[in-house]
Amino acid sequence: MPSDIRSFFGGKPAAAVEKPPPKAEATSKKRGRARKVVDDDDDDEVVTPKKATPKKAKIPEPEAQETTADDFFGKGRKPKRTEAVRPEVKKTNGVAKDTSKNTPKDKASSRAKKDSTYTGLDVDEFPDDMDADEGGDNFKSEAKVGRRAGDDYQEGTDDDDDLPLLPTKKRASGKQGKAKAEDDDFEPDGDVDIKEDDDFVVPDVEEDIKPAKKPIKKRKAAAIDSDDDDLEVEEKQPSKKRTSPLKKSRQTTKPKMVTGQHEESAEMKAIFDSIPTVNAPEPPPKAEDGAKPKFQYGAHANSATPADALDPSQFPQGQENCLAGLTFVFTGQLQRLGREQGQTLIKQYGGKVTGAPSKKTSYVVLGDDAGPKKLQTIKQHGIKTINEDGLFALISKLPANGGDSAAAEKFAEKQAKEEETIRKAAAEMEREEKARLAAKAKTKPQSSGQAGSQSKGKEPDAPDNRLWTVRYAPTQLNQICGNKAQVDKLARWLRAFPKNQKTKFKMPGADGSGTFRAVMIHGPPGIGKTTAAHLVAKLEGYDVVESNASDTRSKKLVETGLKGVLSTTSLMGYFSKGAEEVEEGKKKLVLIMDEVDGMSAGDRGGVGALAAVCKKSQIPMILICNDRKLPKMKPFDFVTYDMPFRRPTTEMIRSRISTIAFREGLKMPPNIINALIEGTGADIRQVVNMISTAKLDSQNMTYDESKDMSKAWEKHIVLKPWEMVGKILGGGLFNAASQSSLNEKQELYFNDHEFAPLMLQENYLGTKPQRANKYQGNPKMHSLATLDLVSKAADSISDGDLADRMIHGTQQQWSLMPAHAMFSFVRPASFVAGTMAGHQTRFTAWLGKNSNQGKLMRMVKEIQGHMRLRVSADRNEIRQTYMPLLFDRLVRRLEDDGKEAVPDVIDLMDHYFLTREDWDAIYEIGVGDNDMEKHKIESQAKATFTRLYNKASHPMPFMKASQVLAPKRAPAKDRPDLDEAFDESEDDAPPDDVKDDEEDNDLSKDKYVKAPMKKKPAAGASKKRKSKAADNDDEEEEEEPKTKKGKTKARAKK
Amino acid sequence: MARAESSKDAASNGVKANTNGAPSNYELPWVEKYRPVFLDDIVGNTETIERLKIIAKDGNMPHIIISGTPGIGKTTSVLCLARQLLGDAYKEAVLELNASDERGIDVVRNRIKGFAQKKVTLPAGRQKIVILDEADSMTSGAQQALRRTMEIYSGTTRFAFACNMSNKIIEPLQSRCAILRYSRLTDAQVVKRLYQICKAENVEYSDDGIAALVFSAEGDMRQAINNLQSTHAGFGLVSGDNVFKVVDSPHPVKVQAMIKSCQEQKIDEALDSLKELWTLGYSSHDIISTMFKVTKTIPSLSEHTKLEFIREIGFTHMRILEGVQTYLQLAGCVAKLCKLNMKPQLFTVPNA
Repeated sequence: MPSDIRSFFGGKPAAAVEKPPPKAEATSKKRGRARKVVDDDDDDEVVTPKKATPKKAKIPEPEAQETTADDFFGKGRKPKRTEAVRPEVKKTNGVAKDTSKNTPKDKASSRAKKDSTYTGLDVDEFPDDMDADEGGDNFKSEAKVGRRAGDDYQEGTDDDDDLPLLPTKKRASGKQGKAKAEDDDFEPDGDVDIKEDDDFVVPDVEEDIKPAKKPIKKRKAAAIDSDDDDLEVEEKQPSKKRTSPLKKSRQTTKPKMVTGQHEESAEMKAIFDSIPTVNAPEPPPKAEDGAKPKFQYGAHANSATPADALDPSQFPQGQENCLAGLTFVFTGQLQRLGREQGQTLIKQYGGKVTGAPSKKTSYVVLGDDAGPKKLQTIKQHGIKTINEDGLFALISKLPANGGDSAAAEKFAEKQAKEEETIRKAAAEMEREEKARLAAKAKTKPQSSGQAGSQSKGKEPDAPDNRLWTVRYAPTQLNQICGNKAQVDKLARWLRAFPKNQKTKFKMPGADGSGTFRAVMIHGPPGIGKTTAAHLVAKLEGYDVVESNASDTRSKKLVETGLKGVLSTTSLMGYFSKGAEEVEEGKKKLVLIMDEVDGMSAGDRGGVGALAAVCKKSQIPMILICNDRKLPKMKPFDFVTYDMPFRRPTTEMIRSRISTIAFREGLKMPPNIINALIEGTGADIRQVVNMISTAKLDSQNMTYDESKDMSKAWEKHIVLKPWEMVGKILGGGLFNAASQSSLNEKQELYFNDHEFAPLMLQENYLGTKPQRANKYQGNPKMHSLATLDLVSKAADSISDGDLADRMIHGTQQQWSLMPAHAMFSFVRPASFVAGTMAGHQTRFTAWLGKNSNQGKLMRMVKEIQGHMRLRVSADRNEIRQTYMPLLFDRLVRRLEDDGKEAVPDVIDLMDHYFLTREDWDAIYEIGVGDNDMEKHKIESQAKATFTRLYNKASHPMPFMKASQVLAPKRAPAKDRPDLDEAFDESEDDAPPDDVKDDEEDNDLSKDKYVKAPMKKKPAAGASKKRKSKAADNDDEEEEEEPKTKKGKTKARAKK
Repeated sequence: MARAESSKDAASNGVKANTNGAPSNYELPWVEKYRPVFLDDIVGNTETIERLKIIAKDGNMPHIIISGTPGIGKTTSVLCLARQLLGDAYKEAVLELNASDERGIDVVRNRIKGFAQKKVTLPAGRQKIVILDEADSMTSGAQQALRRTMEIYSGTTRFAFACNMSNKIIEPLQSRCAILRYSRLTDAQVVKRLYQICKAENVEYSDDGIAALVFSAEGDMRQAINNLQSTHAGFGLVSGDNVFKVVDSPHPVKVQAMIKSCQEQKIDEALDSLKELWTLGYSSHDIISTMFKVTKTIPSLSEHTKLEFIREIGFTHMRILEGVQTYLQLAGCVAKLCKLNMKPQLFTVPNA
């Protein structure tokens, strides 16, 4: 294993680079960063082998093999390579690799001497192995990244070996021996030894490597090049490393300024240093038994506002934009600052808030119960951690625009760049405007005097009357904010349409859109769906035929109206003056169906007809809707190619908005635009509307104004039942700091007063009540307190039911509604409100249970009706006393004895005038031991039973069927009436139980009534039955089994 | 534009009778008689109105949604805006539809769309306006049908919606509009207008009468004016007592005092104030529902206490609705409220 050993030794000098000459550090921060990566790697490795057992030693081997292979190739190619840059990049990266291979081995060998610990450590063996493996993977991936960057990394090692490093090798090998010895010496303090090692080696390396290598300066340049890659690696690392190195902290505690390429100025540094930091707690150690303490994600999401939160008025006032360029991460629950408040605060001063700490994070604002993952990352990168005080200090101390700190400068640079693009875009817009005006002037020479060729710098005489949303609608694809991939896909599909048409839509194409004649764009309002569709169509040379919700789109009209469109070509431009040629491409048509989900009353059958058209259309169709998941959009499944449009991110919209603002002479800093965009939920159109309104009376806008405005413009929509209950239970409305009044909570109920109590009842057990939190330390008291709260909530819910009875009872006391709101919704929530972490909001089960109850009740009623001639018991008695017995004799018999029991069973049934359905009902009604699920009757017995039963005729009690007739499928209560447009006939397969109901209805109608014979009894069995039934005096009864036959067949079909 | 300027001198017009062509002896409701004609006359919501004024001056009105509680000038401001924007062309270029008109999807598709397509010659910067009052009562289908119409014809037609609850307007429409939220008028704003009207109508009034009007109206200008007119027509003099005779609901302040004494466990005082209300002749329904409302908003109680109070009040309300509308029930309720705040030990019988 020569190569193995070589890498083994090669590692030592490489590792030594960890302590580069101090001047190098001073001159290049970047390089320092790269170095840091190495450092971290090393740290991790240090710990992994700590617990390692002999197994460990094997791990490097495959890697060593790999290296040899690489070496092989490297050697083959090596002579050709002469560039100077390579070795340098290799150097930094090589370090990472080499240490990775090296240290474990090293440690393992040292471990080998420490026999006494073997047994004790065996337990940990496997998890650690996995970790080590992962570590290995990690490095491989790193290596890959490195290769992509410079592709020289492996070869680099060769350089090391083959060229003048031989002496080094020897030295190092000697060193190795020494290191081992030292290891032994330092054994009790296993952690430090590595460090020692390093220190020890450093001088050698400086001597050896430096002369051997090309000048180190170049290497620095290369390091800067590869910096990005390093960052990438960095990002990957935290997620992979699961070992929580407890000792590591010692090595990494030296805080580093993550920002900037250059040094901070002295006064900035003073400010930064004066910020009180807090010590991050140790990340919790990994549980020894492998049971990793599960961190509840989102556990803190709802408890965002602490109980004793500060009032916004107590926040410090800082200079404008003072946090510019700094990145913050919040973790844990802060004592005096709600997370949202904190984020707002930071954004207000131009800072950036991200979700997870990374190398780029400037500060972590740390609270209690911080996530272990985050703590680990903090440790790893030595990020500064502060608390609220630190944050406030930052805000109050930093000068405007972040002063001249490195971060701020970088930020300013970025901003300048952004501004540049904005300016460019604005200029572009201006050009377009001019072109448009010029065109207008040309077509209307008479009006050019007033509106046309005026210079655009000042307002033209006739102001542009168009709305901003129209004026600044995108005119090029790259002006559409977000959803780039989807827009491209749309364009591609449209372009490929003629080709697909020729292949008869058989070729799916790269993205599978080739087989579709229609696409469906769906997404929330205001993100540019219609715009994108129109623009793409225009740019692809199609003429647009548009139909939207303002057109009637009933089945008939869709069918007839679209037929006209579908078989025509465009005449657009046909009558224009001969000057412009009518291009061939212009004859293409695209049909844009806007607001497909807006088909409602009066559009009966439209959806189905449209879906049918989509299947055979010869022109491309683009359908647009907001909510694809609505049941009435179901006919479009598999008919259209779905293109979900998502809300664009803030960054995507911001540049566009800034451009518009700039163009209109409105001064808007980015953080204000951000606030507007976030406030509207990334609704571009609304943001444009907002700034156009704001422009009316002012030329600029402050942060608070923008906040207020987006709050005022907040789209109020009726909350869905889920959101409602989530808000009241988990929304922190009952926090002491929350501003919401009792009235506001009551308003939540009125979002949907029918569902609110039901949803609350379904979900009130799923919270961790806030009120019980004070017993946090005492599990017993805590659960008792929780129980008490839950009981109070349940009491209140039942109080609510009393009120509900009066509201929905005979009296209809609607004046009790507010009381009901309080009883059934607000008050229970006040007890159990807390976090809903780990609980998925369920839809109320009451509706299903209620209808099930109704069904079962009906069954019992029917059975009682049939048995009436034999027994004198009311419904409840039948259910409670007869039913268990009947179950035993009818169902269990059949289960136990199989088909032998069938005649007895039928006899018993006939005795009590029970029908076959009643048997099914009895089977279904059983509870407890008699539960249907617990008794599976073999199909053979059941089939025999059915056959025999149908063979014979059975006595029937005389009673009006109408009395037990199930209510004709309750009018679709749960469907909103706008579903009228949804054509039932097009709906494939309604839910099964519905079918069942329908059948039952038909049957029960037929049962005692003489009905025309619908079906010829098909089976021979029924013929026989007929002959047998000949002596049957009652004609009505004769009809019965026949229908029954039909029914069982229908059942079988199902 | 000339109109907008002229509305300056119309500041005085604000209090002049706006007879609207009705015969002079015919008594118009004062609400209609003194409905502002110009944006300058509208009180309250200053910022929003300022913006509307700018729109009225410059033209190019965006689509707007005005939402807010009743009686705070939503419809008035839309109408004023339209009048000031369009002037003489008002008749031709404005389509006003309210809940009394049929506004189903067919109307939207035919009448509104037809209106939007209509050509009306207007000065630059002016568009036809479709005013949809009480838009929250439009079906969602009809609103859906408006979506593209608003966009396609935005060059010539702008829409203005007025509604009480903006959540009844579908999200796509909200996204297309500037949303102006009107808040309740402050007492001072209502008072100012009431004084103007009193002056114009030569109403005798006392300050406590006006205060009572303002108090009972809770920021609803229309109600305040209506009550003023009723009081004036019924009693002549607008004084506090007379106003409360007209408004006729238990005085919230008294009820609040009662709840407060309950909170402080002063049962005698609480019962006294209850007796006072009862002897004034208020029905137990009125008393109990006022108690409910007051308790909900009383600032001195903690939320938990409020909910406990509300529970008792709610149960009493139920009993009253069941038909037991006696003084005893109310007294019992008050006693229970007092008890809620007392130590439970006080109610255990000591072991002899």
